[in-house]
Amino acid sequence: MSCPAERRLRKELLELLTNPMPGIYIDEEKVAKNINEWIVTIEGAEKTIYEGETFQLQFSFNEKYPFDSPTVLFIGKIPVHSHIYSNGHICLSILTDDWTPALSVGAVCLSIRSMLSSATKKERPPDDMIYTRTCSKNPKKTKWFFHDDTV
Amino acid sequence: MDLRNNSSLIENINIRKLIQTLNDIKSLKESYPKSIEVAVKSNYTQIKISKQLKYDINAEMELSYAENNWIIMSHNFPEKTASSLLKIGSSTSLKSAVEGFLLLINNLKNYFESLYILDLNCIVLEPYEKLMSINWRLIKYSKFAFIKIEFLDPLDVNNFNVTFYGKDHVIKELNEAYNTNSYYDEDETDIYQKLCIKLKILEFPYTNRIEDSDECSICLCQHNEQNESPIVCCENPRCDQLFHASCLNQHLNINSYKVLSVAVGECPFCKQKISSNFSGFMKKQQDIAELNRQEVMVENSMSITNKMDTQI
Repeated sequence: MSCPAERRLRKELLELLTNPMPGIYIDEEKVAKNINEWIVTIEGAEKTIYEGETFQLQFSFNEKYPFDSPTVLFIGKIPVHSHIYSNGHICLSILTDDWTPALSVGAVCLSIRSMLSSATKKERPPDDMIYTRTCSKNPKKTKWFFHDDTV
Repeated sequence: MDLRNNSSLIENINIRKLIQTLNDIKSLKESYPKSIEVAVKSNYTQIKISKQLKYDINAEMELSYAENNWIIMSHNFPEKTASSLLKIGSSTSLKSAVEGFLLLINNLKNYFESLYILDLNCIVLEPYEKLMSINWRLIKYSKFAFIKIEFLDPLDVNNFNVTFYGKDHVIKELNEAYNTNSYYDEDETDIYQKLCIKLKILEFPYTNRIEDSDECSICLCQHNEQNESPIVCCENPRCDQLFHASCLNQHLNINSYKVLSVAVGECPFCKQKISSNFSGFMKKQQDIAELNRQEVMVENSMSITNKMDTQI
């Protein structure tokens, strides 16, 4: 029998494949190879500054999921956004401090998509240069300081 | 052919013992031509006696031959009852063991029937395997209410204990209904009817299959690795999630502070304060305590029989 983390991920995958969320696509082949690594494509919502653009999110889960949050970052083309660093790290409280087992891959994707949608200006975080030079490879190791709850 | 090798083989089986066993089994089959099944293990030192009961259930016991006596090794009766009638571990003749076995089945008729009625009419969450040797059932009564029925004395099915688990306000209502007077004929009413009469209902609200929404909201499963069912709910009336006690505990162990041994934290869904002092957790603790007590009882009764043996 697979471990509880994998069983839960399989259930989430099944749910997302049977009831897809608008603008969120899962790379089924990649997930089928390894249930602990997901690639999710996010479409910029209509009538927002990211309309027509697509971005890729990488989710990595450990065996403590869902008690421990997944590691989530943008890969490939990184959206220009005041909470997204140019190395793909995302400053979003639910990915670290505010994570609860009630959240899921779908909920995280929805949050990130709405975070993109509510932006009015394409700009990098003010500390982008310093952060990307000094940060750990794992965004979960960053001690985030959430200064802005409006976006 | 090497005769010496053959003779040692025969010695191993012990031809006298073999003939004795076969004779014993023959006389058993003559005394109870249709009521029991006798199976012999290949080495002729162990036999299994079983009897098919009404409901696709088998009552079974295994005996082992040692030092000119048959000793009962295992059985599938409720532990407390069986030790009194079967004299587990004590040496006995095959015939008296079978007599005890059949008498026990007869005395437990109502107990088997009651468990069968519960298993058939209700959604039994635990035990995971609905064994007849387990004298309790945890039933999903409604979405947020669970009933644990325990037959304290399997020889007397009217001696049972009912405990409710779930959301406080639902449990309070159930307890009130259950504890107000109701009348029924104890011997004419089956256990499910008794519960319905006591709760003043026609049937349990949950009679169908369990749905996805009855799964644990953390691991998204009905049965977790410990074969627990999700019976812990958040007390927030607007929060309709269910959890395994162990899943919620694991969440609280990471995100909580401790007051004595009770972890206090937030519900993963509604953020209302929730603690590990919940009923499911308590239930497990009680079970463990009960198990320990039973073990002590078995040990005591065994030491008593040992004493009697030496006196004789």
